[in-house]
Amino acid sequence: MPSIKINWSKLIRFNKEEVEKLDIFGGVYRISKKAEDGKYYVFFVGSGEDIKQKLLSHLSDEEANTRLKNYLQQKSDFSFRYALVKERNMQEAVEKQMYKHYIPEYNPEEPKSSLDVEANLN
Amino acid sequence: MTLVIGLKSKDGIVVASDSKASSEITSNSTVQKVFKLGEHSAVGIAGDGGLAMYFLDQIQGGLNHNTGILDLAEQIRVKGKDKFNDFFEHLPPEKRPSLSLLLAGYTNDHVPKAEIYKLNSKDNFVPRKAVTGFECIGIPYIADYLLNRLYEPEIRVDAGGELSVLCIQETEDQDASVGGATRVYSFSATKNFQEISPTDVEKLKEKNKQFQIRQKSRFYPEDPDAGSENPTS
Repeated sequence: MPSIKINWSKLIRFNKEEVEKLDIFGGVYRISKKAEDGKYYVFFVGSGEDIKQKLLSHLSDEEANTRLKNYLQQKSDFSFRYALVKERNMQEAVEKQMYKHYIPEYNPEEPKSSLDVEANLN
Repeated sequence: MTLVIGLKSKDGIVVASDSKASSEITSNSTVQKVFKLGEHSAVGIAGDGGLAMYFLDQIQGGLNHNTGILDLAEQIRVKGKDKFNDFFEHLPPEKRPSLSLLLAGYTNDHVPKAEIYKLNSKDNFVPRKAVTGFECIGIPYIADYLLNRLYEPEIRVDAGGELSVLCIQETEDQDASVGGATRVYSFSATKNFQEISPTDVEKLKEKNKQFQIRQKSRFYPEDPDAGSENPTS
């Protein structure tokens, strides 16, 4: 299994203002929520050739994943983290790896990727 | 291998199974493992599939389904022991193929009671009554754990079906010898034996994907100190 090293961002508050500040394109991301114990638990993972737009779409009324949209409309402490990954097949592979690692509650199904990789998730 | 689950619910009995049969080299995912006995009782089979089918063919016709589940269990015990002794008189008991049955139905009481029994060829098909409200045969370990955690006698048939599907899904996830189509049946003292449609089973499987036990993220919280301000690709 190919192994790749990616550089993750720090945890960023997940709201429109913070996402708008970013100048990023292709990569992977994951969204977490701060729980009562103070820890951040991942509930959604994603990837795309324009992850800024994907993150903004999750916050919009047009988000197709209704469960995710409703969840994000809560007044809660959400954060996200991203990493830039150039090739689409690698983005999908890392997304799949993250899905298998977290089994996030609001991803409807395992992402389809024919490639398996071992990327650092931190 | 097999997983058959029988579960007593408030308004009926649920019997569910996978449909995979495996040999050393091949597997088939279309095998029926649950059979109705009349309209208000059912039997599930696990073990040597071909033998089980022949065994059932041999004894099914002679069974009286209308005398209550306890008598049905006794009939199967007697006929099962006789048939196995007939089939395998050349083998000592410990060398005979194994066959497990899960029998579910209702007593003939004024207010019929649901009962589930497990019978095994290894001990002459002596019926063992399920005391927990559920029973599993085949590869029961994960299903037993989940049912011990999640089952309550107040469960209704539709939720019992959902719970059974979950048990089979989780077992299949860990053991590839269980699989194929999940088949779910229900009946009661007054409602006839019926099968949940494959479409509805798929809906239950989708719903079960949200089941909490599958979310690993609770054990891997984010490290708030990790990462960099402007990561590069």
